[in-house]
Amino acid sequence: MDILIQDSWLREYIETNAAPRDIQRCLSLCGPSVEKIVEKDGEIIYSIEVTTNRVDEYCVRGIAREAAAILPRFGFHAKFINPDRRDVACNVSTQKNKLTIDIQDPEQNCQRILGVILDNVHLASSPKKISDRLETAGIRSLNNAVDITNYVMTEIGHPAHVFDYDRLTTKKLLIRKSKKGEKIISLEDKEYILPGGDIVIDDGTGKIIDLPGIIGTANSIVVSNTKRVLFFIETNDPGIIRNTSMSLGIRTVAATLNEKGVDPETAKNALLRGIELFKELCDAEVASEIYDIYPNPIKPKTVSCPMQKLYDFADEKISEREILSILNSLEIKSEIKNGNIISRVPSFRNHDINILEDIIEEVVRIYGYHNLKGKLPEGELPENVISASSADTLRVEQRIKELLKETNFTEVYTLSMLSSNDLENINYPCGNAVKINNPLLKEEEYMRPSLLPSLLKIVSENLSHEKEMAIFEMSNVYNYELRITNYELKNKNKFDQFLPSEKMMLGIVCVSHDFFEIKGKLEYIFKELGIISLRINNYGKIEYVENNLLQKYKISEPVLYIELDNEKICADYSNKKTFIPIPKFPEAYEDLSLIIPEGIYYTDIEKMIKQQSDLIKKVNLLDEYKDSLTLRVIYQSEERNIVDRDIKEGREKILKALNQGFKIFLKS
Amino acid sequence: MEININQLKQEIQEIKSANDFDSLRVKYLGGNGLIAQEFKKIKNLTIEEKKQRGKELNELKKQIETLFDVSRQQSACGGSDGGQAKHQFFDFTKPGIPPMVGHLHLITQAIDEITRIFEKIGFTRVRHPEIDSDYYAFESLNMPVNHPARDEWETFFVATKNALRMPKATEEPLQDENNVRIVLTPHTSNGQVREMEKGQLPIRMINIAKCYRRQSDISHTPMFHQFEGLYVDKKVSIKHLIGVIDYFGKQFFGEKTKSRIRPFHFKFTEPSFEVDFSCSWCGGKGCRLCKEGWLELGGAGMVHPNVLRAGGIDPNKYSGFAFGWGVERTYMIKCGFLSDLRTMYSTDLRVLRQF
Repeated sequence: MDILIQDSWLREYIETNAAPRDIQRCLSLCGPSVEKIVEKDGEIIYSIEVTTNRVDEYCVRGIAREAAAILPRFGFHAKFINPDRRDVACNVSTQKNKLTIDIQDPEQNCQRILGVILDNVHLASSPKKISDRLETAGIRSLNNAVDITNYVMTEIGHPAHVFDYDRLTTKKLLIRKSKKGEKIISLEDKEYILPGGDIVIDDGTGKIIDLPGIIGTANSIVVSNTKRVLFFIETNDPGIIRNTSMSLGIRTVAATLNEKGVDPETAKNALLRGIELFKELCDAEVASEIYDIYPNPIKPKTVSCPMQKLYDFADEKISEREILSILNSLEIKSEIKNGNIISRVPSFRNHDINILEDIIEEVVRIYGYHNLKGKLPEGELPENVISASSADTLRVEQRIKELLKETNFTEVYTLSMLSSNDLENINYPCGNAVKINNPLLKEEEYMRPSLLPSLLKIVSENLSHEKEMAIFEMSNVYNYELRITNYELKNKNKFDQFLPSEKMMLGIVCVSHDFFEIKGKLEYIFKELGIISLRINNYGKIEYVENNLLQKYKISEPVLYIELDNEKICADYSNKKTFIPIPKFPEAYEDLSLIIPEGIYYTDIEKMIKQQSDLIKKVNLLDEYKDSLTLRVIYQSEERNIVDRDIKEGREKILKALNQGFKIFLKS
Repeated sequence: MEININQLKQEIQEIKSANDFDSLRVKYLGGNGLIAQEFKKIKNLTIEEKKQRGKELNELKKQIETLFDVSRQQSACGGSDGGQAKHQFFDFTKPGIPPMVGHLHLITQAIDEITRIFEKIGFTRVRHPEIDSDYYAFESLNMPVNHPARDEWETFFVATKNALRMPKATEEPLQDENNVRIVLTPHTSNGQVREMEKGQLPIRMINIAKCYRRQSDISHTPMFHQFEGLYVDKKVSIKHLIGVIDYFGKQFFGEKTKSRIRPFHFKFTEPSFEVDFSCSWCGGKGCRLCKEGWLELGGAGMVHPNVLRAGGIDPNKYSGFAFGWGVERTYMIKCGFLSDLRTMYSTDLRVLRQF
């Protein structure tokens, strides 16, 4: 949450010799982050990021209070100004007090309700100073009465509301829970149907006249001829406010503050400041007592923090005196007893300070994180470092990627989401896919169960300027087919059985690359990974993408697609090295050109040749031409030189076997 | 005729022109040169002698070829003889032949670099689910259902009808089957309690994974990567966090990089910090990339005691810190040239080939 406030406004609550730049620097290091300072029409404006736990800082007064604690640590003079406004409503004459309003809150849905009736309200535009400050804060200036509510909220930090008193015909406010389906018309003339269970104000006849803490309703707000108003502040249950605000989608500043838990003690201060401003800006007179329903006032809570814990966290000897001075400067009244810091939490910090770590944070941040000198972890190394394996899946994955790069493949990252069309295209049943309830786009509704559609899209996009492509992506695919995942096996908990499976897949698409070139690269990669016998079927598949699928992605070129299961590859990975001694005797070879009938697999030919003699060490494919293959048969012995007779015998056996087995002839 | 290497060396020294070079080369290595003649003589020898002589001649041939190659190179580069023997013009300014290699994506390069940096200080990369239950993504991180803090994550929810599976007969039926919410992890912090549940202490973890959030603009893509550091041990202090952050900054952005932590708020850490690094582009003066000389990288904090408890760790005995930053953003800051996060996800090969 960012708040924009003027320097002059801030200085109404703090007396300091720090310049705006100093305030920016010091606050950002120890407190709320002052993101920017801009100058506009001679005014310095701070843009301050307030974290969601510090709703007390989301106002001029809250920032001033922080600044007064922080600035002196940097050598500046700084004093928080906290005006006493107790007497603004003191001189109400009893005769005037003939107006009544009956506030009921039977279920105690509100923590505190405050109200006061003001008469002789002169509606007009706000003075320039007021409207400028509001506009700076991003709030539209309307008229002095409405502006006062926003001004009080921005200055004191508690949302406020103003009713036209004369439009409250029953003079009764009944605070109750809404029934499902009840309607309201907001001050912006929008109709909302309430989800039920919302805190509403009823005028006693069943008519809703306000949605407190969130937005005013058209039937009770100040109008152009308003003379008498009810200035009204309530502190509601943050959870109920949040539910109503979220389900109706009404995200007013008031709602975002109220849902985070504003301080009911601050509410009183806001009321008094409001009265002061009504008198000042609207010439109004107080025309009633101050209604104050506060059945369960906040009891200041105590948080205790062992000094040792603070020393462990900060690893710094901060003196007791300094600790107490820091906490007291934040209005956290503290003392040290038996080695414990005992802190009384002020009401405005009631929501955010609960545990000893909160106290540590307060002390150390004001002491200054920038004053702590970093050091590297000193403890024992974890077991998984000591017993780290080079076959670790994540390391092997990186190695696979590097090998793919070495062999001229280019890596892509694509979005994990697909459309239902994509699933249909690859004939994947939608029911098995992981569907997103709230996709950003209809085309990104499913988590992909396959890398193919994403990769085909890339081919399609690049075809206009690329002749050949060899692209890969390594990414998880998700589905509900296979439930047993690694996590489940390692980590039995009650949630994992509901999770989809996540499988790290390697997808490769190639355009205008020879099948055997790609096959050769894969063989090389597998060999480098220590996997000797590559049978693609064991790890995935290699196939030409069907034409009708290519057409769906507007691809006119044949695409070779390879999909490999990374987990399986990693499981078979080995970095064991083997060594074959250099043979003592040279090899000899003979080339044979053979006529091969159609339908005979090379591997079968090779296998048969090798079976013919123990001296045949290797068969290489030298050349292919039409129906013939030229093979080099390599002979080698570990005991002696190969002589012509060995080769002659080998050749005869080979030709006989090939002829009998496959009807293969020697080319003449 | 016996071939005398020393004589050849002498002859090479005396070469004056490219013609000299060529004719000398033909004399020795030509089709009918001295070496070829020697090979022809072999056929008259016995098998054993053939083998022996063949080997000798091959070695001699290699030696002579080397002498000629060296001579040619020397003359091309000006030569040891002061450039006198300029046999051939060698244009070394012509482009080299590039090897046929592919490209790793910037994200892969970034992840590898980050992994190595943390590995050196004993942080091991691990992997946790990218689609996870609401429990690990939020609840165990001190963010109960409907907590406003959850608003900060624009979370994708997985359709629960798909998420539900009938338990097998052998399994105990789940009590709260309908309450299991599944999300696309909006951050890598779901790995925190999962890592703790492994039951091994101390923990030094780096979890790098895909994350998903419902947002798409100049600085956001619905899918991105985060790296999450988690350190849990006895007496882990804020100074350790500062030390590790500073170490990372110097390793990743350069040795002059400074770092700082400032107060912030997250539900799963207490205290929480925002982490800044000094801008290496302007040296801290302030530029379009940074905020007054500092670059905000992401969040960090001391692990909240509730999170430790959720992971079965006693906060009275152990403490820890955690941080989680975007891989893409961190790398973009380092590179400085990418201003639009979506460029990182370009699938145009003309872009991908540049890295």
